[in-house]
Amino acid sequence: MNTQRVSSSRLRVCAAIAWLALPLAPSQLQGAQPVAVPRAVEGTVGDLIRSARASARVARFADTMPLQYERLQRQLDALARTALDTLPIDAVARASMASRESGRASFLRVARWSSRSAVAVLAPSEGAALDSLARISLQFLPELLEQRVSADSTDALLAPISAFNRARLTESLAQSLEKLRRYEQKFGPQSPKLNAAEVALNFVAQSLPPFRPSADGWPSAFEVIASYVPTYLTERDGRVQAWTVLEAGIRRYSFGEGWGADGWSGVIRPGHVSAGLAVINGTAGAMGEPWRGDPRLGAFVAWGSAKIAFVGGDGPRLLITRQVQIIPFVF
Amino acid sequence: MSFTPQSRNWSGKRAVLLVHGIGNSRPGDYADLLRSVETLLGPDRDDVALYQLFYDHINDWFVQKTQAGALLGQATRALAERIDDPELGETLAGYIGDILWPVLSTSARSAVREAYLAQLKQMILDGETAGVPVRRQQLTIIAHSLGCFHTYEALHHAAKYSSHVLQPSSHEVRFANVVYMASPVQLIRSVAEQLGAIVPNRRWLETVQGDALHIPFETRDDGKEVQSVRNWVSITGNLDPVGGHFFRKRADWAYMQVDGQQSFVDQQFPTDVTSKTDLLARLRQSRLTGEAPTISPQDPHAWGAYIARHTTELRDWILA
Repeated sequence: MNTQRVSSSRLRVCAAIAWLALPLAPSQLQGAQPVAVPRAVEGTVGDLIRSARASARVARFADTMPLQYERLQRQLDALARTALDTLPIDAVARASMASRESGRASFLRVARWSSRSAVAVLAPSEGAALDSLARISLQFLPELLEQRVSADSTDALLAPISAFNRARLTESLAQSLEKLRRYEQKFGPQSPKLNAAEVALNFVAQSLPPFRPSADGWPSAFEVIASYVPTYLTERDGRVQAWTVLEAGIRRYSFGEGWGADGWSGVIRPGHVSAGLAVINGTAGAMGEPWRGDPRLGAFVAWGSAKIAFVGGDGPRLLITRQVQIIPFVF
Repeated sequence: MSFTPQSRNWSGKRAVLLVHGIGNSRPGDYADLLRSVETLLGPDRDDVALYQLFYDHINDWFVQKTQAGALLGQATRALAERIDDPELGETLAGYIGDILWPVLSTSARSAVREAYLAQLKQMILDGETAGVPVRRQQLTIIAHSLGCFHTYEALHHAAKYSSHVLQPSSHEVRFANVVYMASPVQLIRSVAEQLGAIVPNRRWLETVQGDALHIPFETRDDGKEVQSVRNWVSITGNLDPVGGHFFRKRADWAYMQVDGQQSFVDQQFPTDVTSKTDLLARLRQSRLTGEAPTISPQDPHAWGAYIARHTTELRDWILA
């Protein structure tokens, strides 16, 4: 049997080469922020409830649109607990928007998760009632109010409900910028480039749920990998040699806060990780044909730019490289 | 380069967003166009907050990463077949190919739309910061060429998804004016229909939804439809192929026709000679001076020319 077992000294050689590759991690993505900080939203849920009640009364909502008034009243009844009175609108709006974020927790879980925050006391049904209260109020009351009072009075009466929407809009803007940050991480200048085969595969894959953006625009974290990689290095007979590996797998982008940054932080928490099938043959060389002769199967994993492959069988082999595209759109 | 929405201080209750079309523009570009909008507003200029949306660098991410040019081959071939003249068809197909690729990448489409929506949100929040409630804000969008497609997509998406807090009834975001200049929206719809299953995630491509193009709306809880736009305007030229006209002939498959829209089709000329009288005057002048008559070719798709031909209407709409 061939004695190409991976000894600890050889591992150290490989690790050293990988270590050199690691600092070339993707550069930091600058999170886009709005230029102007929107006006802070003041007020409480109690203000919002009182605003809806007063506006409905002035607009004679019960007389003009009894069905809608009844629906409004149901929301008010659902928000009758006095404990809600002092909840800040700002925090409630943030929780409300977080519950809408695709792939994130429901309102219930957000509220529970924020157990030390003010919104913890808001039950999910109350959160939904607040959303409905704001929606019904703004759908019908402004028009009715303006038939009875001035524009300024209308604005004053509805101010707390408008403030609730302003807080939600601020949160929604932050979500849009977060989506764009993630798109930049996945597709921007520092992202791994795709070869022609990957372009085609990912074009087809974008119709499948794990690979397409969500309906409301959150990017998918996944990407198909199908690469011919002639830049792997391995140790053979005491020398470092180039070896070609065929890779087929999945790349997953890490969109969490702090992932994909520059420098050592990016080494510890890279912007993407990948895993999949690795195919090699017994012939060393940078431009080999892994599918010819006696192909051997193994696996590869990538942690940011650093990649390691292991192929078992007769004479197991450890190979390392870093994510790089030598010829654009080819390999 | 990350996307940062523009933010402005409002001194009135009006704002205008300019959304450019085909090109490779960066913040600071279209300065002449911005000046011409300022000029047409005259003394009211200070009361109107002007914004511009630049999104080309987002397109560039996808072009570089996905080799999008290769994917366009089939789309441009489909378009060339729709135009009778084979030579013209090829040329126009190549040109119009620039505006098609976002159709083929769901992520590219979503990312540009998100940048657009972020800009709208920032604009509205700027107004709120200045003390103008959203129901009092007079918002105008002037889009050109591919910017019309992104406008159509963004406004429909905003009206459909409450998570953007931009719905016309529940969130009171109603645009006073949306002006489409040389809109390729119908053209893109026709080509997307030709491409069939190649277009990924069609149900999220607003341009191909419904029996016809339509103004976005939200259905209120009592069943009434509230449109996102009060004044929906389409302006194109009879020599502008992107706007659906081929040699002064309107192509129904390429011309944007939306129920409730105000339509303008400008009379265009291949040169700056606008009439027989004008030509005669130039020839007479040439004979007098002994110099060759100055006749310049005109770009029928130029955004600035569309603005220049409609300064009065634009001013009236923005300041209404």
